[in-house]
Amino acid sequence: MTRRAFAIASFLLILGLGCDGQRLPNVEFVAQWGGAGSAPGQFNQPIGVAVDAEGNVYVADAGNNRIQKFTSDGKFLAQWGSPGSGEGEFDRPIHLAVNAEGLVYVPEYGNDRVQVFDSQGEFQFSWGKTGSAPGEFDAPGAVNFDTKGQVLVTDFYNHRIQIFDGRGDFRTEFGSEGHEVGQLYYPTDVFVDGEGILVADAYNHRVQKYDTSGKPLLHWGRQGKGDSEFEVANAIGVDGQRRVYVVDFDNHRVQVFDAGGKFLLQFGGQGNANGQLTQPTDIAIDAQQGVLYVADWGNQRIQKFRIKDS
Amino acid sequence: MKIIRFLTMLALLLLSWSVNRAFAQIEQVEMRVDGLACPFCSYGLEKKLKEIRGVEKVTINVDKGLVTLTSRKEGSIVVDKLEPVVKDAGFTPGEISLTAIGKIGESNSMPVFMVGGTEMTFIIKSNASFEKLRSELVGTEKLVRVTGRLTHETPAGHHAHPYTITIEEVNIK
Repeated sequence: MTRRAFAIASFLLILGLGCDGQRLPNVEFVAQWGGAGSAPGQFNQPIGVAVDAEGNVYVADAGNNRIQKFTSDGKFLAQWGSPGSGEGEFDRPIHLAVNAEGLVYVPEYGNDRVQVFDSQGEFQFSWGKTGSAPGEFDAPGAVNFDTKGQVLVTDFYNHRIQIFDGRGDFRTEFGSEGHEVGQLYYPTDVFVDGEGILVADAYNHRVQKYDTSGKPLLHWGRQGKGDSEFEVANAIGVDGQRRVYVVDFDNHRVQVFDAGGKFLLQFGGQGNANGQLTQPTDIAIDAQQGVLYVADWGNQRIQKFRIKDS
Repeated sequence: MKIIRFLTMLALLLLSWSVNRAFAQIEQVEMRVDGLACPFCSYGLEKKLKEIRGVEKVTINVDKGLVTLTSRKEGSIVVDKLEPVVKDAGFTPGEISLTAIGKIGESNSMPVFMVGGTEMTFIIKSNASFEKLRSELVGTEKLVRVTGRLTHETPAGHHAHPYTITIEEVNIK
């Protein structure tokens, strides 16, 4: 970048604008809670975070094999789960999600299933078993929902996305192992943004976007430490402006892109101070409130940020 | 040469059978694994390793790339399954070390360590810490706790064997 270009870019950033004149949001630290341990409100590897329509926050506390529920300010409300494979027990709960009815869907790496609970943690139903056939899983890592209420599940070792109805009946699947466009290499998150299906293609260090039939539309990212580069792109969120937030595990940051994959900004940076991150693993965005939550896995905490559009 | 290999194999087998199968076995195995970048990998590997017979608990340190496995009380970790499982899960296996209880025997003039309660037998790669106690241990029925590193070396004249052990510590129980 020439001196002149750098000066123009700096001026635009001061104004809160991107290099193409697009207005950039500010992401400001609001609060954090947690700490290492197994008491209520503490975490042992908080790997997944989700938010419901009322603003409550759910955390997959993977090392403690439980789910914890908090208010939007981090006040502890409830917990459920213990190690095991029975109903309401967990073996590594991962990227959970809450649907429009307030049901909490929890994928489990170890038990190769998705369990569904009401908002108080009462078991409702589950589906899945170990394998590679349709409806089977080998380490389901994330769930999310489309506008029809269908459930999309990332199937880590089978390198695919499976789609089910809300009760877990198999509908379709897409993806196969590889590095070509459309192929996946250990996917870890999925998000439906209204225009397509975004997948965190973690070990291809990129984001891929598909249409609802699984046809690839767009992709961005490669391995590295610069803008639009990732060291394990392991989670995705989308805000009310359709900006895409990608959790960049080993770069200890979150990168933000426009809907077309153009880099806008980043936040985080390695550390344990407020606003810093150490190996973050998930993000949940409450578009109504304009806030987001990051599972700060390495710091054993959840951090809350506010998205401010200037 | 074929006869020597056959006799070696036969001797190892007989020595294994002669071990009292009731006493304890492999207590712990540590394995270096390259490519463990995040919890999605480590939980995945943990899941695959737990499927190996005899594995009770798997602890993974992502930063150090170190996997620690402990045995079930009623069984013993099948060590030669570890490397294939790690490779199948998409990672590169590194050095393996273990702590186990067993007896020291001899096969084709080579000392061997027979893991108690199993048919696992490792050829011992001689070193100073072993030589100090060699005469006291070889061919006796004494139980020993051994900590050592496993490598894929096969001494000349021996049938190809999964592992050779370099003993780092040996104590008579």
